[in-house]
Amino acid sequence: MSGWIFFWGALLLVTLVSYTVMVVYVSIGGFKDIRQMFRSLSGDGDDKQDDGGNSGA
Amino acid sequence: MAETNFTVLDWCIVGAYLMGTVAIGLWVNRYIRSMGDFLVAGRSLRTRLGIATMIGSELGLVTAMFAAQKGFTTGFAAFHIGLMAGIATLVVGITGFIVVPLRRMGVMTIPEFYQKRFGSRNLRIFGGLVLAAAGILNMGLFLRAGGEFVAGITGIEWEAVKWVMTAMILLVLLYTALGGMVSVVITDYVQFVVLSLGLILACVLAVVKVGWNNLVTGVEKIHGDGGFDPFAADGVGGSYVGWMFFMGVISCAVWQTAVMRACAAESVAVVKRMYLWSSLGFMIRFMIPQFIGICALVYFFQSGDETFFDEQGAVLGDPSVTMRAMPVFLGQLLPMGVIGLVAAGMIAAFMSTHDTYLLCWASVLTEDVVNPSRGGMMSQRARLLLTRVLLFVIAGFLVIWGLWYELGQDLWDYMAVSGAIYFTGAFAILLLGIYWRGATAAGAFTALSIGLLAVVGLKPVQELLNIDEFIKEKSIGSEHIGLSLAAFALVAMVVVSLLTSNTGRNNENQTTLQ
Repeated sequence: MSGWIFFWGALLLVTLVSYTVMVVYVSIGGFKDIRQMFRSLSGDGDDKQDDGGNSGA
Repeated sequence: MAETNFTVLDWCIVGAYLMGTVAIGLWVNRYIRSMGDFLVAGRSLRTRLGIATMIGSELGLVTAMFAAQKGFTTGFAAFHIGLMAGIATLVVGITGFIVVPLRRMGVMTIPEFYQKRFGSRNLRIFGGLVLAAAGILNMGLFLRAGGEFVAGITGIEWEAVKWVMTAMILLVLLYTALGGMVSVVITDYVQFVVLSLGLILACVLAVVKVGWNNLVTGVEKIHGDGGFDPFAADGVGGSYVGWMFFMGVISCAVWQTAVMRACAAESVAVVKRMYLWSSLGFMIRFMIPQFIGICALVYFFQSGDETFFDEQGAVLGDPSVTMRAMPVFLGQLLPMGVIGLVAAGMIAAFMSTHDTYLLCWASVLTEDVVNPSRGGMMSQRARLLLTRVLLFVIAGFLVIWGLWYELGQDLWDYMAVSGAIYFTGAFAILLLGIYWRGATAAGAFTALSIGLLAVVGLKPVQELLNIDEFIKEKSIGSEHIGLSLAAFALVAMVVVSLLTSNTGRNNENQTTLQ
């Protein structure tokens, strides 16, 4: 049982730390990506005929 | 009414946060010019935003509730669910299993894949109906879970909670109907940031409050070895762990809401990166709430609270009671102000899960059932209108279903079983359709039909069929039903495909994916 306690404790610690780093990275980078998405949706060269690739026929 | 630290200040934080989220969602309506913009955000998602929105939609309030419930009822052994989900997503990210071929095809929904791959419009319509029915049933208890959270953390009465939840659904409908996937992506991003920080903070505060050593001895006292070893835990075991790995693959590669993200990605490379990074999120979305559930277990056990335990000190078997443990614990643990931030994050999570799922099932019904039924002749405008109307219809159903359905099993098991109605068949079709040229439409129909049998895993259905005692006697769990049906659907699809492969050259319209 002590093996399981150590394993779950270590896994929790490692994932918590890694996730915290990832949250910071993705929060900052995601904000930049949002601005890029709006630029793309504003239409510079975009194909506004795109219906989502779904003909339904 | 449960004791709580929730104050007027916390209500103000929640209110301001909700208004801000809705305002953003409404503002982006100006960017919606086509069905592609509405449903897949113009396929403009980049890696970091893709990760945020993918985790944001999957790390919802409902996930937090059922994961915390699992932590409360099984202790540390529940961590295997997150571990399996993380490994499964990592494998999909490295190999591109299923999602990369789907992105290459440029499909938007799984039933659309059915038609492109097998050249059968009827298969798409049938697949769309099964997917939407299972998906809507699957989210049928989201409102209940959200309501339990709001009641537990704020301490307000259940009658008032119903109105709060209904108001929240209306807000979700408002911005989703107007802004579509662009609104969903933005609100998912905001929710990802706020909820992630809130959960990490709650996790740290919980362990400080209860203490690690105290947690270990407490879980050992309540659950024994089964509180740590998933192979020895009550109601878990080897087949359940295997079921959880399968569920991990399904959640990220077969479940429509996750596949929608892959389909909205800018490129195949972005899809793979999204999955690699998201594997951590798919693991943590279970582990943090489970850990808070474990802290709640030990906290209430040691404080002598009788709400969640019987006279012998064992955890009560009533799922609707154990579901309340996490929010009540947070209500007593977190200080004023912090509790408002965590509640706002959780409620935003509730909203972002709803917007994703509502949009998903409404678009499946429009694109894969109604439009194909009319020969694909519906205009973009008509499809947009229909999708928006369906958003309201589905939400109405959820309000009614969420209030009267009696939860006879853990929320997570209910969701796994209701989802299995769709994914046991869909997994076989995707796996064989993508990786085996011999698969046929008749085989796919067979697999989908077999998947429908998963409805037997729901407790009320077992009671209706008078097989509940038999299932209990033989210790047949949702994992046995789900895994057996998945295997059965695979075998049946192979057999029927082999039997029908030469009849009428029914594969002549197939798209080659490899």
